[in-house]
Amino acid sequence: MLDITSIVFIGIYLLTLLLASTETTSLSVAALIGAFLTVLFGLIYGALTPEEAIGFIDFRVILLLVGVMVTFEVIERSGLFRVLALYAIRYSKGDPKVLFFSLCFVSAAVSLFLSDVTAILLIAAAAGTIARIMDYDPVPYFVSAAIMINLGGTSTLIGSTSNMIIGMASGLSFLDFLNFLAVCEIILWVLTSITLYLLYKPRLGEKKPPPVYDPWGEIEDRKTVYKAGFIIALFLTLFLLYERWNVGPEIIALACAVIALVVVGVDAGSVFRQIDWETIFFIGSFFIIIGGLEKSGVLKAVSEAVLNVSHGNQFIAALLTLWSSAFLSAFVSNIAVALTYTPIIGMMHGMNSNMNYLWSALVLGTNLGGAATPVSGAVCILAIGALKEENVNLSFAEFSKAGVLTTIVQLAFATIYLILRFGM
Amino acid sequence: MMGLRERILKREKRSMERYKEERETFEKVMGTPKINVSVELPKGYEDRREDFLDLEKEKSFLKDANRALGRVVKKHLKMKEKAEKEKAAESKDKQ
Repeated sequence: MLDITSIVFIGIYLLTLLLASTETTSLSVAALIGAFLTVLFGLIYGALTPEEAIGFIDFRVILLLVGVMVTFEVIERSGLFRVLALYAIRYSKGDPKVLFFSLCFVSAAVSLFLSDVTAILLIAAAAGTIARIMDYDPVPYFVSAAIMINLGGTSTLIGSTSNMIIGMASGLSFLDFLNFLAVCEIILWVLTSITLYLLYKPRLGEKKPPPVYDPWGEIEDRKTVYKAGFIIALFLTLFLLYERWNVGPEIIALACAVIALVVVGVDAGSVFRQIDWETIFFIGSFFIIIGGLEKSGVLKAVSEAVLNVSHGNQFIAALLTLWSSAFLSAFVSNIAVALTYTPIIGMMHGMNSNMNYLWSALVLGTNLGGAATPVSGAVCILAIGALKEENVNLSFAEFSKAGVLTTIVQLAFATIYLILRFGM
Repeated sequence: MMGLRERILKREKRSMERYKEERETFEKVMGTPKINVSVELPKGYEDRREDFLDLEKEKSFLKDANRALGRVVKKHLKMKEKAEKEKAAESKDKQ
């Protein structure tokens, strides 16, 4: 039986999700309200002190996020990813089929490094320009880019904010992520782009003479692009090796941010202004809300319920985690889903000493559910917003048609992959 | 659902500004190049300030301005071409 504190904390948690998912307030404000109420009622019921509440925030996640954001903001400013997108378009030589696949793969590749928001603004701008020049329908290109950007980075620790949260909570390293999920992600790239191609084939347009241009046309200083390439190489090398030096990924991310600022030499103040404070405040505050639920014993009860339902069966537990986290991520922020699930899975250690299959299921679920509907993630809504700038009004239903279809295909494959990869 | 859609899109106004900037950059590389020329209110028309500013949105004005400026651009490009040819010929004579 739940006590009054637990009921109040559950109420605060649900209120926060409701405020955030209905866009009554922004994500960060919804979470700040929730965190404030958690501390307030924690004090009233003697369940929580403000110091304890601050202690719930995992600052390693925040530092990792800031380090990655600064590093890739610097790299993005060099124009490297823009050049990449321009090469992808030129490579298509006016063939819409080739253009479609090259934009799909560049979208996924770019989002390995850039935040989803930055990636969709870049790719949509490239797709919007070529669609106007070639007189193509921009919808297939914009929707596919959003879905591929959401998918890109599923198998890396820094690929998405939810991955960073799961990685820090589980202790899975950058190499572990690649080891468990890289093959899955590559196959998902192919499967998803083929699904989208089949869906949009009649709308892609006809082959036409392409515009002639130099992809380096807008680059004033090629040296900066080369420096950005060097920073990416250094970043990946350090992330592959950091376990050997007994330091956390957040230290590597911060070190890379400093190196990037020094080597590329951009205005640090303007880079810091571009940091996604909305996400940082959301995560920090949501940690407090989840901490309240954890301390009151609610998450332990959920964890035990999952154990009871699955009867200790790995396959059922993984399936439950994968599909339920994906379903929830389709309607609320996948960051909130990752923050909720990580302590629950962490408490299930008694079930099996090797929990990698559950962490992998959670990574896949939170990532793949992020582009099912327009409210699943910022990347989807920005694709719709960018289409509006191109004078195309895409309805939520039309986006969801592609989003739900690809999410089901992805989850079906992820289920098979988990069974085969972890021998369940 | 429509209310939610508009509410979310309104919140993404800043991102859409960034989108437009990116779009302009790609347009410069792949599309027809453009230059922006600003026009000042002519002297003697100071009392027509509002009407002058409204011209920026008037299709007929934009069409006329584009046509007139097109002629000026062609004239100046031809002048540049002529000057370059003369310069090249001069340097050839010197050699």
